Amino acid sequence: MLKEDTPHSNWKMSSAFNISILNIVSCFTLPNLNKNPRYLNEFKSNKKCNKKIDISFNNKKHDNFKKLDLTKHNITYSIKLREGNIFLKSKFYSGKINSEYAKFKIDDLGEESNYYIIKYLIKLIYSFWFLEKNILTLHASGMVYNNKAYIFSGPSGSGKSTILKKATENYETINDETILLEIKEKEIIAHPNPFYTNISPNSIKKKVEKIFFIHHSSSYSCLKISKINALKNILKNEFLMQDNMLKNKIIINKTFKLGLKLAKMVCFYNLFFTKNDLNYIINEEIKK
Amino acid sequence: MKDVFIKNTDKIEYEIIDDETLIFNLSTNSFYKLNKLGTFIWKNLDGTKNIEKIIELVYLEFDESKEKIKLDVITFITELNKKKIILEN
Repeated sequence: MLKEDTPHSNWKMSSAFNISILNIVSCFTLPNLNKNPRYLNEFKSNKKCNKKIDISFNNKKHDNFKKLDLTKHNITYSIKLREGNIFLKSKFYSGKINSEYAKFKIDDLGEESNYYIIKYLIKLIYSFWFLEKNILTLHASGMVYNNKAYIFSGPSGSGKSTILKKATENYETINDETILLEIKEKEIIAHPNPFYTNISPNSIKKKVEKIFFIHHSSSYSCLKISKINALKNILKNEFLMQDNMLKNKIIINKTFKLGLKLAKMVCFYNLFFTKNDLNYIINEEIKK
Repeated sequence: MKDVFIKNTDKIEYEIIDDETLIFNLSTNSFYKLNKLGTFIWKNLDGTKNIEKIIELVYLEFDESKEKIKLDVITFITELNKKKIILEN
């Protein structure tokens, strides 16, 4: 009658930084989404960069500049801390983060730690903003077939990148780590997430056709799952739901509502596979 | 054990789909899935019906002996109460 399940947490961060990051996050004051429905008040496009974002921070302690080269990810971020503001810039995004809405404390943990903290917090802020826009951030990779998105969701090591690597041989891909799912009235749109990717971010927007929850296995099976199991898996793989520090009722309530809509609008499958099944998944399973 | 219970909505989030329920406990960060019988009882844990009334309603809805239903309902409600998913009203 009652089945219990604890969601996994799959942060890809070195353990050395993990404790520091959790300490920092515990100082993070969650925004009141009711009072500040427009949590991030600017998100504009222009010719120089694809998107501009204005996020709020409160940090007057630091005043330094650091250029971060993530060339292995094909992304270079510049992050500048000055007078309580954080400036963020990459080839694809630029942003200014000021102290108007959210507040948190950043301890002086050294330059290397700052990078992880800032990146982590920026991802969090992005996720809050996305939630405000009815977008769920799912740990997933995605590919395009017949102009529609096929999503493969699961924790670290479940095979998201492996499947996508195979898909890149013949198909357009969206992202190999997290996918943004925009819950619209009659359709779900998949977007790439610029902060979680090992491939170059792009501006693909595709209607979602199917979502697979993937699992390594010794044999192959692909079975449609009930809406309640779909909802559970969506929430288990959703970015904000995975963070134990974020037990905010408003955020969880909104995530549940969006997850429910998503569960009702898309077909979900449990996909168990071996590495020998990759061709079949990419070329046959998604076309069924 | 008290007789009337109510959902602890300050500490949980839940959704019902197709006679099944998914509950998320914010305190423990755990999910709970209820089957059809669990969902039926869950819907009736509204702070007004006592356990005896819920057993009666389950008996009318499900084809099972009253003794078995009584045991199941009490075990289920005790478990929910222990996990603080429901509270005494």
